Amino acid sequence: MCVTRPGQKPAARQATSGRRGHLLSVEIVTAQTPDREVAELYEAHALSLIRLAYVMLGDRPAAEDVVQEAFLRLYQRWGTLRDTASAPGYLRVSVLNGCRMVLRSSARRDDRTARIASELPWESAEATALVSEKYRQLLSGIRALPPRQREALVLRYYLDLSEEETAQSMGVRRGTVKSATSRALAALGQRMQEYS
Amino acid sequence: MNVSADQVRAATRVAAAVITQDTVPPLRLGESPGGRRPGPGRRTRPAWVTPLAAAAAIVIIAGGGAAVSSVLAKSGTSRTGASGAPSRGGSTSGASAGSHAGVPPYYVAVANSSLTVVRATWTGATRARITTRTPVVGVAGAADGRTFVLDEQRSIVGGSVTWVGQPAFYLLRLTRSGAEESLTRLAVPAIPDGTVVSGLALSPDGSKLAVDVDSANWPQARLMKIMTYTLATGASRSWTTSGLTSADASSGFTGSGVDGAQSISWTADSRTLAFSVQAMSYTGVRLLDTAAGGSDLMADSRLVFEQSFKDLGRSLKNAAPPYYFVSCSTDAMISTDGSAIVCGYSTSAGKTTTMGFAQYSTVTGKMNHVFGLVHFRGHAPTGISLYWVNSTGTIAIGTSEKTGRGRIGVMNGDRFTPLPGVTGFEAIAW
Repeated sequence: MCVTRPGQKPAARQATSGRRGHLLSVEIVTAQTPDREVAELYEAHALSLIRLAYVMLGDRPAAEDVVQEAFLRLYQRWGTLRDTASAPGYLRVSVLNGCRMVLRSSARRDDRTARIASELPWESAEATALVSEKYRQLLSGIRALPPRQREALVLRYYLDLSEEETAQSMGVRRGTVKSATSRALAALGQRMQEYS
Repeated sequence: MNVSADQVRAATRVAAAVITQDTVPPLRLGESPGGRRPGPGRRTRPAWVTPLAAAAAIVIIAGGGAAVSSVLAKSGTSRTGASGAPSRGGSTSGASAGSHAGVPPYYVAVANSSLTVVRATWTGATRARITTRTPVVGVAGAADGRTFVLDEQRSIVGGSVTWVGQPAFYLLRLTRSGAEESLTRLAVPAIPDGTVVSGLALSPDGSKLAVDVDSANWPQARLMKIMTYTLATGASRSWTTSGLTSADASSGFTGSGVDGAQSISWTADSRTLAFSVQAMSYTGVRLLDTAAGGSDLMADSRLVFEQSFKDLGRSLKNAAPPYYFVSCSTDAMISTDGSAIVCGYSTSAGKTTTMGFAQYSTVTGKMNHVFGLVHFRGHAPTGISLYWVNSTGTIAIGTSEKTGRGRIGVMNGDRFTPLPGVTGFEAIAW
């Protein structure tokens, strides 16, 4: 909103006043929402969740967006949580769901766009300075995996979840996790062989 | 070629480590263009910097006492409490619950020379954006967390910073959700030529504005003045002091610039005004009864305590640690019940520095206790910023310095709760 000073266009005043009713409806929601609780959860878990989403997506802005959306959903649904202690778990599931949606969305792009996107992750100046060439190849390989295989690898080896926990988190059977991780490692091995 | 689980584990963790805590963006709840919530998989980054409130408000600019009275009447109907005075924190967020009771729900911060923002205290979510042609250089808040005064001053930068022209004060009222309700220019009397506003305080009930005025070109001018202005009636009073030595005046005798630092503050009855003084040889805090007679700033005010720089310097140079430094010269606030003064505090022992806040009794002038302490290795910065204290002076919002990287948060006992997104502002007020 802008402060209108003498001499400014009156149109600005009309445009803003027309939306005021909408703000008042938001006001009721925010008056009953847990700003402080969600802020404290963000303080405690944002870093680990952004890292998780970054490993999944290889794209930091997208990772931050996914985490932001997860906290926004938690904020909106706070009153429906049976136990606030379950909030961190809810956030992780929400972030993984968000990552899946991003990956599905990117998979719908044309081949050229998808190929370029697969080459972009881990290539920032910051990442280049910290991640060795070998790791960058490996990470690019992970990025190129089908979403399910990638998620299985990240959950199993980045988060160190058990096969059972990974299956629960992905909503699949344990056998599916086993086969997905096995195929993913094989695909990565082949890629690394081509690279070397 | 085989790829092992350990290689995947190492590669993903190295990649994740690129993201560090200090690069995590602040939480932005409720911010998306036009109120549209971001959907799954949709890139929403632009939404983070486009607050919901940005496109939705009505702005009222009006000069003169009539407009001021109108705004005050409106704000009066929204206040709560038997006394008619608002309580800190209101009822607009979870901030009013738990051990941090009373922390105001919103703050107003000057982002740059043309933009002032309203943000939610606990989330950092932007609730309103106010653009101005003249820079806003100072902000002060009332106790309800929804009433603020902005000070616009045009400045030039020469050999030293000099404010030119008369300041313009605006009364900002927020809705319960933190959106801008009104912005009204106040008819505050002109400040004397050759002076600048160096401190600003709005009384807890929003009825009176105190303006601390110092000479603009130190140390030539020696006029120090505090003015009070009653918003409802336009009545004003002033207290001045003269005869200061040029050495005293050179330090900016009262206040330290309208930078959000609280060099003057009110008690809840809108009667007693606490102001800090800093001369070449000492620093201290005084209380001014604005309902009593007189117009001499020093003769008609009461000293709570003072600290000699000579003694302080001796203790710093020669005394065995631990020693302490109390930065009351720039950031001293009185609790709204009038019982305590809160100042920044630091002490060092060996290579370890402890920083926090000190609470003084306004009756005895003695230090009651310290709180909000942090300990770290290294030397202490000399300034500790203080932005708000609760009614009894036991909870504060201020900067917790740690190895030179201060974070603004809520100090309650020894617990520090950082507030998200409160960085990089030129002035700020709760």
